[in-house]
Amino acid sequence: MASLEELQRALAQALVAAEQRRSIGTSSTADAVARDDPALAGISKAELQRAGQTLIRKRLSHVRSQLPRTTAMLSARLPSLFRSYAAEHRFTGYRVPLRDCIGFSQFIAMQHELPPWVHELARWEAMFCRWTLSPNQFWMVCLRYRVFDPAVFISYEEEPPKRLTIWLAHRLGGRGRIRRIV
Amino acid sequence: MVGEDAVVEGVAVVENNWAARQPLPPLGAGLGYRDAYQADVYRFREAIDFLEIIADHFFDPVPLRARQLDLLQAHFTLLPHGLGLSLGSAEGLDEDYLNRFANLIERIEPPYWSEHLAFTKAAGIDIGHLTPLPKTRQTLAVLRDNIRRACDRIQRPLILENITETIRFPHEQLDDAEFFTEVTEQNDCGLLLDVTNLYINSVNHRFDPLKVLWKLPPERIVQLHFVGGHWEDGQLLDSHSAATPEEIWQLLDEVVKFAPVKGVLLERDEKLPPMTELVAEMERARQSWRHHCGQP
Repeated sequence: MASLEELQRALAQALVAAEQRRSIGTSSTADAVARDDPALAGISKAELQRAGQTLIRKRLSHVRSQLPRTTAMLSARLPSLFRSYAAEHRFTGYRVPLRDCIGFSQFIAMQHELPPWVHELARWEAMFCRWTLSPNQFWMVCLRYRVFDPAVFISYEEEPPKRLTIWLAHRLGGRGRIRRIV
Repeated sequence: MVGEDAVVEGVAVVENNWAARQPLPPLGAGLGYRDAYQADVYRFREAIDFLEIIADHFFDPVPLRARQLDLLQAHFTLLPHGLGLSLGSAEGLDEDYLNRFANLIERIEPPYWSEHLAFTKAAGIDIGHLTPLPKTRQTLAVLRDNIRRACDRIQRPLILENITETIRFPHEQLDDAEFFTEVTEQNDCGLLLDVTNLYINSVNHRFDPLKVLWKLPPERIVQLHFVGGHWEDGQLLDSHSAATPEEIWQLLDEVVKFAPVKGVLLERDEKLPPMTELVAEMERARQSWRHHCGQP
């Protein structure tokens, strides 16, 4: 019988592989190896697969909570977009949800079929995740649309009001500000 | 022998009067804090007896986050709830995570803190989700080492939460109740009984949750979690995404009849409703807790 350490190694590999399979919709070589690992003998393959799929759902849940307006606007497009993103991106550490939000917002910005205001809203909401993540940082954000105003309703189909703004965010050793300079 | 310190298989069995030695305050009905409710928790201050914060969200807080934490602490008893300490990891604890957790606890001085009977990390992989542990003596030994290390660093009472068992293991040596009892008694910890997780496991794996409950040491059940989940592909999931269903209310009632719990906590994560709905759930839980636990 496998030791607990061997079992946990095999489980971690199998679950991540199952998560990847759910993301890309195919089996991978790593997935096949994980499923045949002797340390996993006697464990239901169906349970492993379901547990792996849970990882995607959990990651998406975190992204929804940190990018609420973006994910609400994406609506039915969100699950497939996130699965595509998750297939290529995986982080470690205790702030993985924040890294996922930043990563997903960058992924959205590269999806040219999405309207430009969706790109900007994702960048705007992710800015606050970035703010939390790093103690030392300096960046500027330029927005063409009023995505920064929570009172403005933004829908996927209709171009929102335009207002050019430039925001400056800086932090040094944990202290800093986010402010509009234009 | 119960009533005296003894050594059993190299493990000290602590006298079973944990509740007397750990005078934890009665708390009432609480809420898992979520940023979406950061204004509402103050508007509905009188309806919330305590807040449970996700510890990871407040590690090394930036000034704005630190002010938020200070304001929360000024108005509520805060209980930090960890997600990534991975107490069940055979390779040992993440010392960096442990230190950050310890710093947070030193800052907010909670009556107790909580983590999970699970592992999240192995072989350089961060699974990102609480993963079950096989109920074996080897697992108990790993938990013992990790909990000892954690409690050396964080010298406040620890309570441990049961999780949903998405995976069941062959060759287990203990049943659920035996495992939870051994872990809490070997390590002098309390139990955070997630009533929803117990119910979900009982549905998905077909057993009577009351038979597990009645074998647990009641004085070690310190706090409860409850919330609703959803069905997917024939499995009930702990998505924390719905109102608490009647079956879980009934199980919660049985728990508070059985154990002198200090607090009952609603932990909603997804499809967040208006705060008034959560207040109503907390009030129902509070009434049950007061009635059976005899608290004012």
